[in-house]
Amino acid sequence: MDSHAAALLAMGIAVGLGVIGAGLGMGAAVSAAIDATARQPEAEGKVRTLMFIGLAFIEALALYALVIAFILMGKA
Amino acid sequence: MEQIHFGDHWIGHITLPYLGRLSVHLDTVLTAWLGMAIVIIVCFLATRKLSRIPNLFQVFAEIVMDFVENLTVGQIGVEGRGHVTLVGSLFLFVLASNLIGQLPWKLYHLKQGEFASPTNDINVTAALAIIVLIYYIGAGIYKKGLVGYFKHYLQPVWFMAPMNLMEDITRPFSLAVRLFANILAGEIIIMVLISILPVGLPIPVMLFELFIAFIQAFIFAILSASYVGAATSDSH
Repeated sequence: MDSHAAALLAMGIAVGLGVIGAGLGMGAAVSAAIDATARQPEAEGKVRTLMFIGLAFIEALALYALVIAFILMGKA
Repeated sequence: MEQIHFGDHWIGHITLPYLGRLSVHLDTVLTAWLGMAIVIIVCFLATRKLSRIPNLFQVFAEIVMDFVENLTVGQIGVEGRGHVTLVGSLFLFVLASNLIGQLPWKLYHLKQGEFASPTNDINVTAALAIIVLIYYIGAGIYKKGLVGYFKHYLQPVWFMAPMNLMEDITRPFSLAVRLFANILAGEIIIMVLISILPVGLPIPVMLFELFIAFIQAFIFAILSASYVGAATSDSH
């Protein structure tokens, strides 16, 4: 396997594996937010804001994987 | 399937005194100016002839203002109303920039690169993130004094100082990369779908990108507000 092919393969693996964790985290966060809203509908606005802040941090992790993929694409 | 290009820019050169020859992403500069022009013109028109009984335009401006103010006050507290100017400017500029990318720029061909959202260029988002970094350090120093502000780096215990310093690097980095990667990833997905089937297939993703534009502007604004709030709050 030459380095070009290795870089392309690594790109796919980086994004694929990186997104698994973020997906699990987002699932947990959104399910907890929906639980909280169903339990206490009057707190919906506050819960939504907190959920978005949390999702932003989780999403940043997946985006780091994406950035690594972009760097590898530059090498390919 | 045709080759997909992204991240290309229309590079121009300018020569400035003291700085020498600089290369500039002209497409980004032009679309960023367009975004600023949209924000300035809309805000200017919305604040003419203010009246007790508002017209439709003024109602819209008041809704936006209320939204930004609630967002800022929710993060910083009532004494943080002065920071609405920064948070609101960031929100409106990022929102306008994200939405510009959804216009049909593909009809207009450039020699190099293409017109898109200015926020798909890491230089723009990094500049915005550095503005936020300088602003929240400045706001902290203004509120608590030079010693008072830098003392919080030694909390809760003194050897946490490297972690607290690291936070000042990762915060603007993640702000910049989050916005940039979200917008660029959306454009890449649309490009891939267009290369598979140009008719109809990209439309749901384009609609989702409109939603993403709002969410990212909201997240950028709310995180900036929460950083300013963390820097100016008394308790740690």
